[in-house]
Amino acid sequence: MIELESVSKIFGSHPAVNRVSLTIPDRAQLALLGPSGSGKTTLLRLIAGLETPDSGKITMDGRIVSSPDCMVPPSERSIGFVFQNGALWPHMTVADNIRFGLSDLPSGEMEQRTRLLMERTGILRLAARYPDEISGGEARRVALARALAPRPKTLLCDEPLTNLDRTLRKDLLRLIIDSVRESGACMVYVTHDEGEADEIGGPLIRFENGTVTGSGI
Amino acid sequence: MMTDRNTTIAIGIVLVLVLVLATAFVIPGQHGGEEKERIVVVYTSVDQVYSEPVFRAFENESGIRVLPAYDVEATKTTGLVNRLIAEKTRPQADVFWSGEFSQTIVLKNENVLAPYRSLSASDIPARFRDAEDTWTGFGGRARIFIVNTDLLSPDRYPDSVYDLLDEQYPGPSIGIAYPIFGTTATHAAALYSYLGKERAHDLFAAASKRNIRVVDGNSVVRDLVADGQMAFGLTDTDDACGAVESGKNVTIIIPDQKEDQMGTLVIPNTVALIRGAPHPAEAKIFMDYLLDRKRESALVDSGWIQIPVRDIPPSPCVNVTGIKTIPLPYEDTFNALQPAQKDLTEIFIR
Amino acid sequence: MDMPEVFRSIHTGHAPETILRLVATGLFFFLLLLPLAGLSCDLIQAILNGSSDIMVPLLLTPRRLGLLGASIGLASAVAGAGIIIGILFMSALTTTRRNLLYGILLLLLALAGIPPYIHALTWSEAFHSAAAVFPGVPSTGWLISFWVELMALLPLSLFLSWIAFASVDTRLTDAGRIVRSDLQVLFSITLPLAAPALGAAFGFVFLICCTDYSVPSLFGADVYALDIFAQFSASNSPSQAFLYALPLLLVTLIVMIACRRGIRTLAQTPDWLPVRHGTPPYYPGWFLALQRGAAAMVIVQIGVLFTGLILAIQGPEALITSILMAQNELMFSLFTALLVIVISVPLAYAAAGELSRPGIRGAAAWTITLIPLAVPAPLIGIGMITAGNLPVLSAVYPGLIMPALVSVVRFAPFAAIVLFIQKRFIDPALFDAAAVFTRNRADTLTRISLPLYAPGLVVSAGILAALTLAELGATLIVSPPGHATITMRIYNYLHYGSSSDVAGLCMMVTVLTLAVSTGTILAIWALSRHFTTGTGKSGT
Repeated sequence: MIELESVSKIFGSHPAVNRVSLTIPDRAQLALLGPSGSGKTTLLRLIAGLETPDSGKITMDGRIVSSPDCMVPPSERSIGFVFQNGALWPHMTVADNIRFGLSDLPSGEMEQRTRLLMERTGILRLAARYPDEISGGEARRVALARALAPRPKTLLCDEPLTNLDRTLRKDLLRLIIDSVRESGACMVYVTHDEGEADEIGGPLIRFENGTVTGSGI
Repeated sequence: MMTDRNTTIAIGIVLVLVLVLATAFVIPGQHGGEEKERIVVVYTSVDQVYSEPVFRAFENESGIRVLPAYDVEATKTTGLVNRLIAEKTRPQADVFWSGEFSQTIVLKNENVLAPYRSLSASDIPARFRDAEDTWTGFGGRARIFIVNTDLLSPDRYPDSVYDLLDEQYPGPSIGIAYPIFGTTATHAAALYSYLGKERAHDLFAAASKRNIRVVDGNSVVRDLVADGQMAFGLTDTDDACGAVESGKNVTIIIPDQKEDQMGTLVIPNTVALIRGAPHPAEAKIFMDYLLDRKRESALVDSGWIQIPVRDIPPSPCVNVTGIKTIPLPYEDTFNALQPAQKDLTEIFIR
Repeated sequence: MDMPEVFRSIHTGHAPETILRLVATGLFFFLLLLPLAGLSCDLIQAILNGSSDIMVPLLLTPRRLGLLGASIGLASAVAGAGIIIGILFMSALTTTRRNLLYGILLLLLALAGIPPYIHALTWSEAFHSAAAVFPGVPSTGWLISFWVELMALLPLSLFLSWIAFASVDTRLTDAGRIVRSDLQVLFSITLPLAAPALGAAFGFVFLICCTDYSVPSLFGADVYALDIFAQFSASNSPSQAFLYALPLLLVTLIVMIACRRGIRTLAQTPDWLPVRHGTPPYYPGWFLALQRGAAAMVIVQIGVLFTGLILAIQGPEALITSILMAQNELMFSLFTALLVIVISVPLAYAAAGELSRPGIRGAAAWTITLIPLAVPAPLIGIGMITAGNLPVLSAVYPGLIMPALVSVVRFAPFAAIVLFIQKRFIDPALFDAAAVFTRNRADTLTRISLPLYAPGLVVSAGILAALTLAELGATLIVSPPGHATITMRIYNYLHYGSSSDVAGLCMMVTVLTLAVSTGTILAIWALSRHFTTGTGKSGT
């Protein structure tokens, strides 16, 4: 379970996230809906540990992971992150991108897991290709496989389907939902698209000007 | 509206750029106001601190403006001479004033110089003048040892260039400038000419083998000896006198002055008229001014030269009365220069 | 009646830019080739005259091979160490506040504008003082030469390393931080992604070190560049010196072309001066110690330089006197630096496109761009005079523009490569969008192209100004009589032994470079703000 207690993050004089309190239960698939610039991405980055809160604290399974005085490194939080536009590493092949988060596994197991994820996300044939040799839709599949590879307890998705056509978005969203269900992880899915948020099927948090403005199912 | 402002700013920027470029093209450096103002262009390897006051005094006296171009030691004296050679087909300079003679002879051989016999130089002995009057020598500097008096007692002062090989001085405690450049090269060439190639080669090869410090110029020799980083070194009188006058614990020894020794090299300043000079009349007026007896005296006073070629009081910084010089015509030293430089490059740059 | 192709394209809209770009590109390569053409004329003349020595420079004797090897070794060590320190120092600054980062970068640029020889002299003094306290501390030799050359080129190495770090998209490192430690991310993601730009930085520093003889010769280490000068001094033949420089040219070309392969593979799209916030990286103790070591070296370098200079300045009156005496040189230096920027930046901007071309055309563009970087400075000056003697070019020589032109030849290639790297970062779709949406070409230039290129333009201008201020060898050869730069004045005082004046002028160069670069940055910032406000859409 992830808990945010009165978390704030200010850039200059602009509060990107303002005293947000939120509880995300285990295995929940939560959609965070809000317009561009509302602070959704900053909230995800705070949960991931990529930003340090100016006030408040974040706990994961009862352990404080983020506060102004104490930060657990992102790599020790058991999270996966799907970035906008994929953010694939251009100097690594598709398979290497996925393998990167599996360094703790023995090599045989690492190969097996990589192959499984590529099969599951339908990118096995792209294994040896570099990111600039694949399409936008394929890149999102790789990003999803990469995020799920280390079996994270929480998957954070930051508008992962931006700039894709409607059919592809629908297919990929289905893939994300099914994959997350299958993995047993909880998911925070950030979007500005009401339709996508509805499709997630879990709790819905409305976010505006850095604060939670409403919630529902 | 905003676009209009943007355009105005863009036009403003372009105008400023055009103005800067136009300034660079329109003011061609040396011809500005030429019709109203008389000018003379002097290329000089003499330090700016010594030559600039001479130029200013000349301007005040003659009303002719001097446009100088200076050389610096750091370019290994490859600067102005090569510039003059490159400009041979379209000369820009009127006068070349050098702190030594070999580069001037290079220019003579490259047909860069024109003959001019200045009346002011009539009291300068003939051996300081080129037979064809392409250059005239005056005011000399000598090659000497600068010695750190804290590190060496008077009984251990060196007195010959052969002391570079004396075992009582550790190699790294002795310094010379690279003998391939500047006055050190000229000195080396004189030794090659006087001693013969073999003996001179052996002298420098042995010095190199002893790991004497070969540094980046005569001024560095002076500084390292004055700082106590070296016991003594070979340099020019003007450099050494600077250190003496600023109160450093150093003294000057003129090498090879005993009866059976060869003497040291005295290097005169030289001044020459450039062939095809754009301002020949002004150039001659300047040369007359520079070669005047009073100027030589003033240059002794300023510290640039220590050994006048005329009968005028020498610099008090070092006693040069009766100084014994290597008995060689300047042309002989010059002729030995290029082979010596090539040989010394093999010895010292490795 | 059908219009000829060229007029039709002018009529349809894009040709004026194309023509302008072609002219600017042509001018860039023309200028770069000009001194080489001059030197080639001299060479041909020497061959026709049957100069017997002309083959000698091409024979690499064991002595010359040894010197070449030593030069390559020294330059590789200096460039390698400089880049490693740069990596450590810049990796510690990843989340530094923007204003502080600007301050550090400007200081580095200002320090890069001080001639390396001055850095060397202050270090020589420091070694001497150290030897007084710790007898036996060596003050000459290869190790000392390496150290001092490293310290002299450290500001430039750090600045170039920053460019390399800034070229890495932070989203990619963030993606790595989720699954691996920050140290692993640094080695597996940041450095491989920065490698091309780091390679280019290595190439630049290697090149500058390889062609410098002044610092090694001050500390008794002989390098190949000094041999070139010895031959030049002995022969007074630019063509022979040029031939002697060929092996160095070849080495430089190999190094730079190897780096260029890396530069061409860049695939990121960052902003060079981004707001870099986020949780600071967590590094293990040993790595933090290395970072602190690097920072300490930077502080020591700055400390030694300024302490040396301040100690040498004998009171404020002496400082004011030396500044007043050098007013004309100061103005001329600033004018020359400004002129170099004004000429180089637009030409380099146009030539950057040519460097992106594939195949033989691109390779030729790279070769021409790189050659002047390895030609000794005085030869560039001599080559420019030879070319300037041609009647068609008599307007430029002699003239105030000539010192600027030699610096353009020597340093505009740096600007072209920087802008080429920048070009690789910019998504071409942005220009396509500009072509579709903006109302006229001036709009596209002022609102889209220039803001997108602004970081690269500022960086280029900064590097050009710093290198031009410190230039001596070529400027001395072509400076119009009656005009001298501040560096020429510094070297003049250096020989005279007036350390107080030298120190005063060096302090002035530092302060001046800081002031000018700060002013430039502020002006560009104000302009970009103005333009951004003008669009009324951006800024959030």
